[in-house]
Formats: sequence, structure tokens, C-alpha cells
Amino acid sequence: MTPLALLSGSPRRVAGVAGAVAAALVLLALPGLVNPYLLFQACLVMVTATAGLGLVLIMGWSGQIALSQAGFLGVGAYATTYLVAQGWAWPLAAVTAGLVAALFGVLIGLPATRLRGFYLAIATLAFAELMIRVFVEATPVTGGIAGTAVQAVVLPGIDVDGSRWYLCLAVAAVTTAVVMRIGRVGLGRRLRVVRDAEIAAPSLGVSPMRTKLLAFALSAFIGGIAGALYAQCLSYLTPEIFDMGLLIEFLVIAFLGGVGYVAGPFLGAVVVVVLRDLLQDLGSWQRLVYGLILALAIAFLPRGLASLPARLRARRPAPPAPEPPPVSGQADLTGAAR
Amino acid sequence: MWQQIISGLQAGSWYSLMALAMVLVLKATDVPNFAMAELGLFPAFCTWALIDGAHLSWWLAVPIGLLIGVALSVVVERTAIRPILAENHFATVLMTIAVFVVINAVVQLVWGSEPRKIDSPFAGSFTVAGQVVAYEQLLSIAAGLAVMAGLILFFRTPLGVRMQAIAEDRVTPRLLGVSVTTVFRTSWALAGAIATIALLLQGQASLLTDQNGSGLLIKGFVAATLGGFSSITGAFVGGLALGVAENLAGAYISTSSKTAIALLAIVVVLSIKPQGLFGRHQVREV
Amino acid sequence: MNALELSGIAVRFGGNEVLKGVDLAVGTGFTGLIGPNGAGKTTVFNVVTGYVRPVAGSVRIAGEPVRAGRPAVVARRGVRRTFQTPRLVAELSVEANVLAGLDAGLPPGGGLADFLGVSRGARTARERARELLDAFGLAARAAEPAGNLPLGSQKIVEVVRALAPRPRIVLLDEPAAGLSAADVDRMVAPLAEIGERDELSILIIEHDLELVSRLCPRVAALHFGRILADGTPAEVLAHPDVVKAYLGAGVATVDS
Repeated sequence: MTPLALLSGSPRRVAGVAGAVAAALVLLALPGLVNPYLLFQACLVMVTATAGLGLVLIMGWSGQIALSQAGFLGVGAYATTYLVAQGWAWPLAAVTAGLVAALFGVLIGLPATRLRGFYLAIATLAFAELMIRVFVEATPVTGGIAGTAVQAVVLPGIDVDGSRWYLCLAVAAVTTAVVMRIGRVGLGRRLRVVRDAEIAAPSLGVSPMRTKLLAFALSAFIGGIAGALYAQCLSYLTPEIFDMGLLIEFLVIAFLGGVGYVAGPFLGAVVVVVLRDLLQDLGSWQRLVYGLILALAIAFLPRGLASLPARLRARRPAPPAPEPPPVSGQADLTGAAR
Repeated sequence: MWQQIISGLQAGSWYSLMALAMVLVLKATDVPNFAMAELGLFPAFCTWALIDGAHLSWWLAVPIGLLIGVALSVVVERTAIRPILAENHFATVLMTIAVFVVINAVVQLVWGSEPRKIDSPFAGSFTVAGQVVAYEQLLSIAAGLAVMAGLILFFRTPLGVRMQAIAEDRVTPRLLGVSVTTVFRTSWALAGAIATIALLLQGQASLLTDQNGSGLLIKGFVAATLGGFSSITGAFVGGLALGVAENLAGAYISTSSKTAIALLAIVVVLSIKPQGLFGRHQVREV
Repeated sequence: MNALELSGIAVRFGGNEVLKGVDLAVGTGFTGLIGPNGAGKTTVFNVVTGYVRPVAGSVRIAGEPVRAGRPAVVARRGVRRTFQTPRLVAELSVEANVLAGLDAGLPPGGGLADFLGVSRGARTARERARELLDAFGLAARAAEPAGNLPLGSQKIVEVVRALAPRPRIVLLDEPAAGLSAADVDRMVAPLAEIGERDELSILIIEHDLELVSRLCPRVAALHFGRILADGTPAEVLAHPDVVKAYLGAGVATVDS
């Protein structure tokens, strides 16, 4: 589409494009606009949202309860840090770390393709806990409980804070574009077919197992890359960074933001980062607030903040939440799906 | 070796109790409860406060603690779980995680992270054939056995039979005049009491901290998974097996293998035999 | 050669014998599969599409045997089906639901080309989806979430999704159940036209015997896992065993 065609569009469309361009300019100029502290918070938003985009794929679209994202973040963070310390260039190290995380994703996904619902939740939770044990024990790579320092990436001609921001912004932007695109093409359709109509999927030539594995691999890859960025924000890695607390933040992001929408993780990430900052000296209060937000979001806003505009815009009620696969009934089919 | 086995059976009894509480809720209401251990943690801390702060006798404080456990579970079931049961399982699972987070935060806010110990009249030990056995160890094992036996009997009573009917089919029992509400409330109440027993036993034999819940939660899940998540005896035996395996691994392999064993067991069992080592039923479709 | 041939198919669930040696040959055009509830009709579909593995017997598609238990492979060989209750993705658009039926037809590596927006297959798929939705009078609602459509239209969308990849064999499980007379016409007219033009073999399970008689030159009646009668609708409906099965079961009466 040519710029001319854009300009000749409806006023609403022109306004939308103008808004996007303005937002992009603000984001690009951010290091000059805000103080380093706020810039750092903005980095955290981008990192957390990137990890959350992985959840859009796995929990939102493929409909699998995966509580393993914090573990994948840890794998990505430690692997990148280790590889950079071995003399690798950061981008190569980050992509490799993403691939390592994806490999773990496939490993945890293999049993997951045969498990449903909360069995999957338990298996992925156990995996995340197991990874923390691994981080504690694998001292040569991770530094064990004492931890390991992260080498900061500095882009030519830009200071550390600015470099970190542009790194986070670039990765978040690319990930957003990729995930949005996946949502629109065949893969995005297949993920949702497997989620909402798993029984019908094979009759369309779609293998539920392969589709679920792909979802696990992609979301773990995104988690690994986000972990590489997270390491840049933390500058020092210890195993407990990736424990249950981080998982809970991801759940808040997923469910407050709305895990079915690409915008969801960004909304959720802003809330989490602001809360984390406001409540940082009040550890337990922070968790209490997270828990209450999570409970309220599930009870009253099951599709998240990102679903609000669509709900308000649509006159008719929002499309019903995806139905769980049938538990019984349609006897011949349920029997067949075993 | 004998020492390791008896301590393993003791810890295993706590795991078994936690697994029994989870299986009970799952069987009756089809809700996988990630908050189960915290529902016992809060009342256990209350009991500690009654004994240590209010100087109540153990014999008085423990029944009060159990009542608090029952009440807390009933309130949670009514306010957080039942309103969203019509939604999909995804929402229910996450709601129990949210409840877990909230209760844990409250415990931390009220009592901090300092380890506590519940004083009980069962201190001390005796010697059998040259081996030292603590009274606490016997108490834990006996309590586990008693609860398991009680549950088996309970599921043969009319109410217990109804509970199973409702877990399998939400519509027909209602048509037959069985009250779903009663069944839900009863199962959560019982499970709350059982979880409290598990945390109390752990809190008086070893230590009580805000982390006990999440530890027992995972172990309980492992035990229940080993048992196939549907069988009471399976969950019980699964818990004991896990406790013994952990203690032997801790003594003869390394301390870090002790924590890893449960997590490995869960991943391996779910990968190879999702219906559990003792399970007779298929994996429930959620 | 017949498009689809079942010989000696037997299926057992636990101790329950659902199909007891079913022989059925399906050629070009419409074939009706009728029978009272519980006769095993849907199980026949499940066997053909590879969802259920028979304990005995074989399925041949265009003369070639089918390996049971691989439904996705069967689908790629040109066998498509619908379900008694439509199984669509409520939040995806009508068009996207139809496209889901075409995804498996992309060449290997087509996923990447599709992702980059350079796949010719994806473009033709969209054209195909539009063309079919147009034929079934749903073009105007192509962009709407499928969940917003009434049940009748959802069932038509499922039929469109089954037809989209130009299959050789289409199995429709009670397509008219729950549909208004107008919806039935909206579905049947284009279906008959496309079926004739593309020389499809269409097997229909249907309780509306009037519709079956009108649409299918050939009908097979299934009862307790056995084919009772096989022939023209008039022959089959007049067959004493079929009359007894229906009246005995008290399920339906012949209107025409």
C-alpha cells in the first residue's frame, strides 16, 4: 500500500496512522524525554510484555495452561549471559539462548501434548521449579546461589541506558509484529482450531500434537529472548529471580491484560511494572495486591483489559468465551478422541 | 537406613494428607486446587498463635485450628470458586492460584517469614530394637492412616456416594434431588480440615514457615499424581513412597537430589503414565 | 471404481459391539445413511475419517486402503467431514474458519511463505473461500466472528469448510438437523450444484427422510451395527426390516 493510498483513506484511518507514527517517534526519542529511572521502567515494560507475547501464543491462542514461562526466561537469561562471557556477540547469544529455551519448550511440550488442563499446569509448574534447582546446581554456568554478573550491551555512540532501551524496544517491536502476523495467518488459525475444536482439527488435516508442540517451542523461544533482555535490565542474575513470584507476575499480565490479544501483555506489563515499583519495599503487600488483582480479573474481566474496547464498541454482546472441549456427550466422538 | 525410612514415612504422611485433600476436592467438585496447602497453612499459623501467644493448651488450640481450617475452605469455595465454576477450567485453575497468592501474602504480613514451631505434648522418643522413634513420627503416620481410612468409609456413606456422582455428572444428580451445594461445601470443608492436619503435623514435628505451603503443595500434587488423582489409597501410598524415596535419596545420593526427586517424579510420571502408577481411570479431560 | 469402500467393518467399544460387519460402497453423487438413533451411523463416519480404529474390516479410498488411526492423513487424502454440532472457532471470522479447512493443502514450507505474505497458495485459498461463501449466500458475513452467526448458518459454514479443499469424499453428519426450511434450501441447492460439478461423493447422515429421498438416489439403512437395506430411497423405505426398525424404535415417520 502506497503512502498516497493511506492518505486517501478515511479520516479515522488517517488519524490511526498519524497516532502510530507519533507513538513510534515518542518511543524512539524516549531516552531524551525521560530520566534514566523512568527509561529503565519502560525497558521493564518492554521485556515483560515480550515474555507475555509468548503467553498469547501458548495460553491465549493454543489454550494450554503453561506455568513454565518464568523457567524459559531463566534459561534465556543465563544462557545469553554465559555465551556473552564466552566471547559471543550479544544478538547471536540471545538467539541461541532462545533456541535453547525452545528446545526445553519442546521437551516439556512432549508430555504436554497428551495432558490436558491442570495436569499440564502441574507438569509445567514442576518444570519451572526444577529449572530453579538446575540454576542453583549448575554453578559453572550460573554461579549457583551466589549468582553471576551480566555484561551490559552498549551500542556505538549511545550510553548504557539508551542502549538497553533501544535493545528492548527493537526486540519488543519485532516480537509484536511476528506474533500479530502469526495471529492472522494459517498458524494462528490452527492454534485456535486446536483450542476450540480439537476434535475437528484432524478432520481438517491439522495435527493437534504438532500444533501444540509448535506453540510450546515458539512461546519458549520468545520467553528465552525476553530472558536475554531481562538479564540486561537486572545486571546480576540469581536463581530466585525466576521463582514463583515471576510466574505470578506473568499470570497477572496474561489475565489482567487479556491473553487473547496482542495488546494485552503490554497493558498487563504496564500495570505490573508500575505496581512493582510502587510496592517494591512492601514485598508481601505486593503479592497480596497481585493475588487480589488476579482474582478480580478472573471473576469480572475474564478476557482482560484488552477486551474492553471491543466490548464497548460492539453493540451486541462480545463473542462468548471459548468453550472448553466437551467432557462427555457426543459419545461416539469423545470415544474417538482418545 | 531404618531411621531414613521412618522419617520418610513421617514426611510421606504429610504428603499423603495433602494429596488426600486435593483428591477429595477434585473427586467431588472437579476443581484442581492449587490453594489447598495454603488453606491449611493459615489455620496452622493460627494454632501456633493460640498456643504460643494466647497460651492455650494444645488440646484446645488444635480443634480451634481445625475449625478455622474448615471455615476458611468453606468461605473460599463460596466466594471465589463457586461463582466462576460455570466458566471453563482454565479460569478455575487460575482462581485457585490467585487464592494461593492471597493467603500466602496474608500469612507473611501477619506472621512474617520467621520459622515457628508448634509446641505439642508429643515431644520425646523411645527406643525399639536399638532404633530411636519419635512420638511425633508415630503421630504423623497414625494420623495419615486414620484420615485415609476415614475417607474410604466416608465415600461409602450416602453423602460420599453423591459426591462421586456429582463429580462425574453435574446434571443428573441434580435431577435426582442431590444438592450440589451441600456436596461442594462438605468436600471443601473436609479438605480444609485435612490440609490443616498436614500443616499442623509438619509444624510441630519440624518447622512452620510461610514456605511450607508451596512445598507441601508440590509434594501433594506429586503424591496425588502417582496415585492417578482419583484413588484414595493410591494418593496415600504415593505420598508415603515419595517421602521414603526422598529421604533415602537425601541420605545416600545428595541433599540436592532430595528436592529434585519430587519434581522429576512428576514430569516423568506425567510423561510416561499420565493415569498415575496406581490409577485405574483415564486422565480426566479438562 | 467406487470412491469409498467399506468391507466387513466391525467396531467395539468395551464389550459393546457398535458395528458388526458393515459393507458399504459409495460412488459419485449423494448417498444417504439412515437409521434410528444409536444405529452406529456416526461411528461409520469415524471409521472412514480415521478417528476410530475398527477391530476388523478395511476402508478403501479410490481403491487404496486407509491406515486407521491417522485422521489428519485421511483428511489430506481428500476426505472431509462435518459434525453433528458445528465445531467452529467462535472468535475467528467466518472466512478464517473456512480458510482453516484449506491450511493443510499448503505445500511443505508453505507456512513460512504464508507468514511472509508471499504464498500464492494462501491467495488462492482466500479466493476459494470467498467463492464458496458467495455460493452459499454468506459472503456478506464473511468478516464476522463465526460465533455471532445463528446455528443454521454455522452449520453451513462447516459445510463450506469441508468443501473448500476440493475433497473427493464429503461426509455430512446430520447437516439439516436444527435448521429452518429456508436454511436447508440455502445449504442444499449450492451443495447439489457443487457436488455435481466436482463429481463429489457425498455421504449424508440425516433423520429428515423427506430430504434424504429428495437428495439421494441411493440410501443405506443401518440398524444395530448392520446394513439392513441398500438401494433407492423407495426400495429402502419400503423394506420390511427398515419399517420395523423405525416403527419399533419409534423415532421417525415417513412424511412423503
